[in-house]
Amino acid sequence: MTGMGRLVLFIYNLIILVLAVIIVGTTLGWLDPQVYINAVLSAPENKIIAGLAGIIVGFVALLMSVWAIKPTPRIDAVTVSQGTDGEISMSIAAAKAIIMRAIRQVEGVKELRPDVVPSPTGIKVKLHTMINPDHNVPEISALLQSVVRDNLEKVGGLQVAEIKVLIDDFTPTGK
Amino acid sequence: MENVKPEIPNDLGVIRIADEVVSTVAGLAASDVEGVANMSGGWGTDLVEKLGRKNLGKGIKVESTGDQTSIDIFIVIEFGYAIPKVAENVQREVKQAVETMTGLTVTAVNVHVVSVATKKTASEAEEAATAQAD
Repeated sequence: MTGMGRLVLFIYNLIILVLAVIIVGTTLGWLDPQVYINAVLSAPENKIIAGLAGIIVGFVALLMSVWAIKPTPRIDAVTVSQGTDGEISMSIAAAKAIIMRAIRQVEGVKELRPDVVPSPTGIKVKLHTMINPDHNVPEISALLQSVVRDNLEKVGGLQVAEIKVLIDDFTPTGK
Repeated sequence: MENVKPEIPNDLGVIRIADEVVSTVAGLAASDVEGVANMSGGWGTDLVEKLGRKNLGKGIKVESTGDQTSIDIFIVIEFGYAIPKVAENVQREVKQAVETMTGLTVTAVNVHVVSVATKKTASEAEEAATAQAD
């Protein structure tokens, strides 16, 4: 979400909060909104201002609804090469399959969940792992990075921009 | 834009080749390339295939405009093979097969690797069976 989107969402939440307070206050008898509404609508210029504010708030709400339900374009493939014969691309799922098979070579990794994101400089990989505590974390992380990079480059022909390793947890029942 | 099907005119008339023919030729050529585990046609095609109807053009999309034909191929590659090499072989074999068999000009063969699979060889299966018996 962009900064502007956050700001609009914050303002809308604020409006909803004020409305909620007014409703609760009216229900408990602390407020009498009818008096304020009549006061605002008594002058013709106030009616115009209130009407315009209603239109603007309604329009922005409509835009936000469309924005909320509009699906974001998903990039689910990376280009391996582009030659005169045509393009070779690989799905993110295939890249993940290569990673999953590559880590079988690394002892001590119990579970692995890879995230692959394409970028202009190559794919960015984040490995969420659970490892056996008997193994040294920096060593196993470096080995994971090396094995995954090698396989993605040699088997997949993919350019790897970065590989981040996140140790989510330790498990004593590693392979 | 409406696709104009390629035509091969001769003295007796015109020969038109349907996209399905091109996709079948391309599918057969791609399946024969070493390292290609299978073609990926989506769940609908897979379901129809499971029901017994073999689709040789599975995972192939053909776009013909005039005398230009471009082919999109969705494949699953066996793990262990270098994907760029296998994909290049697929491009070459498909282009050659389609051009030779249909006489059409193939402008592009776009290969999309959908997944990577492990093919269990007969020897591995035997080994597994023996281990189980032991």
